[in-house]
Amino acid sequence: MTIQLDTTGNLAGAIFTENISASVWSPADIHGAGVPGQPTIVAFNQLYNTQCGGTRANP
Amino acid sequence: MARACVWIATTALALAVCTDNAGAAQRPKSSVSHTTMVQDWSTERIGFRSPMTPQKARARGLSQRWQRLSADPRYMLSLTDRLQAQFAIAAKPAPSSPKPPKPPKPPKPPHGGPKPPPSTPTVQDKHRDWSNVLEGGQDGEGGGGLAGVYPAKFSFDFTAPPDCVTDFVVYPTGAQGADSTGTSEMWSDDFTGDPVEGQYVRLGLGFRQVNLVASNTLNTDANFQITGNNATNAVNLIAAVNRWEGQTVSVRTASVGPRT
Repeated sequence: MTIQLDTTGNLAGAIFTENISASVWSPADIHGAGVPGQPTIVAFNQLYNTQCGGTRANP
Repeated sequence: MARACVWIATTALALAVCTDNAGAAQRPKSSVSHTTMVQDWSTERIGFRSPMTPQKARARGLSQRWQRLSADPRYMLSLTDRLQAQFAIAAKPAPSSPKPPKPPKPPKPPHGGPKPPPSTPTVQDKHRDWSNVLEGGQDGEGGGGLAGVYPAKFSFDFTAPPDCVTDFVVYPTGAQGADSTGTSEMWSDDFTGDPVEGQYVRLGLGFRQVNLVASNTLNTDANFQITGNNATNAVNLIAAVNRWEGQTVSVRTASVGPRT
């Protein structure tokens, strides 16, 4: 059986861990490789530098 | 720099002369005299086409005329505006890119109609726009933008003050979308026996993480049942992985089959 990630390449972090007995199941981590895609939009949060919760400039 | 200093000195001199002339006619009793500088929109309707500096007037033999005109605050205002405009041009660095096209002139009011107030002067500032955040492009022009397309800011409660956590802006990239290509990271193996009840497979990160726990009795939710058959154990685990794909997100497919 195979468990495969949704995105190409290797995901940072331990997204797959298990504690099943090694003699029963010890899956091999098969690395991915890929080229990033091109988004059509990008979004940013953390918009306010110092005045978090301040009054609006254009109420 | 030297040229800028000349203009500053000229402006100061012109104002000083104005102070002398206007102040001479109505010298206040106080030792400190002030000359008012009228500046409102109506002043611009009575302008002087070519106000001269005192030096220029003297060179042309028009000192007496200049003395008379300088008593009019509007003349001095015109002169000051002219000098400031020339100073701004002198202080402006040489353009590295072609000039942008001039904005269209507003339509003239019908003859005899009320005169509109003067428009706010356009300040030519350093070129920057929202597309800079997208990077790319040349000379800091930023990434792609599209005519008539602009970023949108989203606020979850527009009646509330700005929120550092939930407010965000969205920019279109102006580029054709494309999927990533390549191969995905995967884990592959077959059961060679039954796992012990309570052992688990953990998928996902953070709040999306879930433990799929081996169970002797349950084969629902986050459990996969231990059956005593390796192939069936695999089927049950894969079914549990797929049940939780919506939360773990990262797991695209979990399939039963020959080891990769």
